[in-house]
Amino acid sequence: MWIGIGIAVAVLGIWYIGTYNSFRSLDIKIEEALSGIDVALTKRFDTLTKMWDLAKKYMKHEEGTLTKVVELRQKNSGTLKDAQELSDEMTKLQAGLNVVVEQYPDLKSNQTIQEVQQASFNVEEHLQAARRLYNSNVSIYNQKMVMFPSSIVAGIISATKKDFFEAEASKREDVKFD
Amino acid sequence: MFNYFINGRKKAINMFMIPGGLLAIIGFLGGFAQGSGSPIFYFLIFIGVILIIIGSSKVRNLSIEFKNKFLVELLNKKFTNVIFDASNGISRSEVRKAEMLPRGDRFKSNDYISAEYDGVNFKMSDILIQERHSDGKNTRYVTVFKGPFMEFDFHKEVVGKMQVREKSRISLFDRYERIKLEGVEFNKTFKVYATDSHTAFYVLTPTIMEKLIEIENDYPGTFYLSFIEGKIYIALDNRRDNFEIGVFKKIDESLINEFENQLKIISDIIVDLRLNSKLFK
Repeated sequence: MWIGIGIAVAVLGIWYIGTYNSFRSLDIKIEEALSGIDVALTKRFDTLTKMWDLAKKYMKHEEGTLTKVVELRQKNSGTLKDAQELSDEMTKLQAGLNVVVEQYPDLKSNQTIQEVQQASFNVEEHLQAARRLYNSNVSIYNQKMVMFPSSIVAGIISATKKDFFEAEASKREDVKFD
Repeated sequence: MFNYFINGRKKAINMFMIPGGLLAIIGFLGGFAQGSGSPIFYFLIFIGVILIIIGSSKVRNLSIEFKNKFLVELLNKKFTNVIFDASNGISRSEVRKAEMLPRGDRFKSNDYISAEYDGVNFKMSDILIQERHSDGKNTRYVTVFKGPFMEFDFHKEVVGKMQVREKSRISLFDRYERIKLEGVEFNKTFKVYATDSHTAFYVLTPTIMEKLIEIENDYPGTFYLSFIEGKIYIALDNRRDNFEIGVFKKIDESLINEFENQLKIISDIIVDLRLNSKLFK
């Protein structure tokens, strides 16, 4: 009988360690995905400021948005909330820049602005990939947290539900080209 | 227009393949009935096989002639910068570079096509890969892949490597990380392996995942896909040797239509996977 109890305790112990480690490993993946978002946001900031430099004489009304983006960029501490706020403001600024480029044919035909626009589409794709990767890991984590029997380990280690990176409705789709 | 090929093939079948087949059957049955096997029956089988080989080679040469005339015409109509070589194909080393097909012991490729569609360069070949199986006494070759192998320029900047393959197949890519994407239907159909998760999520956008499922449904066979160093490699194990007139196929307009359908996969992939998008150039 003692052997049976010993085996049962060992199996339970191994299962606990395995589940605990999978929570920790998902935690790390979520952290990595969040820094991936941060890297993409930095690249996006760079392309947006380049685009701004090229189009600034036409962008008088958008100066407030740029200032807000710069402020948010400076105070960004790498948390999900900061990243989300910065991303939303950058989307507004990008939209404003795109409208201005469309409005002024001389600006639209500028080779450098075309290249920067191309680069910003590419950066946008990277940001979306990073966001999807983050949300996918969060989804796995949250599911694991509520599913039995891993929910027992989640309770013991006081795991809390993670928030998703919510994109604006217009950004939930793939980037449109052409 | 087709008479030269119809008559040529009829001649090869009637003069070589049918007599060869009959001689081989007579030799085999005679030897089998007699038990000990007289040399005359071996000789009949030998002559029969030789005649069949000559007949097959004549049909193959006609097939090459047919392709050089009609397939090249079709290729030039659909694509630009066309290079076609019926006798050679994409090399073994290039196929191995894709890291997605079994290595095999025997490799054959033919019908090399290199061209451009809507600004995208591509190459295509028919590939046959076989593995040697031996039980000590007998050795036989088992086909592990037969079908088209394609290589496309991919202008999207991808640092890592990625493989996509149908879920039903045994995985060869344990050295890469298994990635689960958020598409439920996609995860049911495909397994994804990549050097890093970001590469997989970057290349496989929701739209591309949807299109890959559509392509997989439209083209029967086992689907392989790999993204390496600015190239997309796609292979379809459909157990078919494309663009052949064969022995039994009807040689008429329907055969040209069949060739056209076999080429449709190229434009489908380029358009559906948006390889022609301005963003990626």
